[in-house]
Amino acid sequence: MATELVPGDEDGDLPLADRDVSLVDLLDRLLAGGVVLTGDLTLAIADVDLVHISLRALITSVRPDVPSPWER
Amino acid sequence: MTATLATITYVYAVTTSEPDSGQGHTPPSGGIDGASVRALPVGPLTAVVSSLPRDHFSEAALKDSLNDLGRLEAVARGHHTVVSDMAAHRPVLPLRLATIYDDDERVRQMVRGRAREFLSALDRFAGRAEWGVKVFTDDTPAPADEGDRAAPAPSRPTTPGGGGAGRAYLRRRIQRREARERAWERASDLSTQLVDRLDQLAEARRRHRAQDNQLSGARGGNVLNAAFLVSEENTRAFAAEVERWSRAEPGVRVELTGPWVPYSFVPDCLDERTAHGSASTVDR
Repeated sequence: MATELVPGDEDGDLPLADRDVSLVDLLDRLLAGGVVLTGDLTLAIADVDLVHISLRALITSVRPDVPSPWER
Repeated sequence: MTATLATITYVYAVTTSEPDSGQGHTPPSGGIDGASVRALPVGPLTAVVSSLPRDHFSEAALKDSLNDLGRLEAVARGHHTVVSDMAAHRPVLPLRLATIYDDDERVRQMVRGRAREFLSALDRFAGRAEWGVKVFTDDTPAPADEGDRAAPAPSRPTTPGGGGAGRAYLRRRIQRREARERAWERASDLSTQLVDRLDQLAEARRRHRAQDNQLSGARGGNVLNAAFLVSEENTRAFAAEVERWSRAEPGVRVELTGPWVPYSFVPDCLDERTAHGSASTVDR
């Protein structure tokens, strides 16, 4: 959900910890943003595969009529 | 020799250490799955981490759990909460979701090895935040459309020149499609002008993929989904500009989200990989 158009920062403190952020806006950022490092266990996970897999999961969960592509 | 620990170390973010206070800063409570969040000091930097059960965060387990929308959301929100709580106090460099090391020592090695890059990226983010701007066509159907949708298509073709219900139905369909196309064009034109204006107030821009409204639940088509890196000084002017444009064109909706930790701008300045496979494109 969009926040108010003009931020209410009376004391210059912006509401960074906004719990109302929409999952889609959050995933736009978390799946494509952030420092990509080669962790010990994340070689494939931090990859773009995750984006596809997750978005397919999202689509199938939102649209139950669409069969899950990885359950065939 | 080394036994495999029952936990892994999940790294949320890297931030600066507090040089003036011996105790460092209090990490936020409530990480992923309610795990406690620890500050792991490494010279001038601090890694913000949690210990999580290895069997839930192995590569195979993650692939499964991140396919589950509920788990994906829990991990994403846990990650975001820690990162944004930290960012309320200091510049934070968020790491990609699910960046996992075998143990704390491996995290220390990683941070030591990249300290210079991390410090310069943190410096770039000081006093700046990310704002999201989205433009939608607002195609809430007119009442006439609703009635039309309920009416079934004619079951047999109308005779040429006969006019009648079939022809009227087709005409309405064409009109609706044309109206949608015009709305999209107006929204695209507005987006172009808006982005030009906002570029003057922002330090960087990154375009995200348009959101599928079946995922977002938003009405209308998503014409623009962009992120801007904006300094504190320009924040008010930026928000005011977005608001001004949100009233500029009937049938076009403009939404502002933020402030965000600058997630979208990390890959520009610090990324082991090339842009290969990125879901987004950097505009400048």
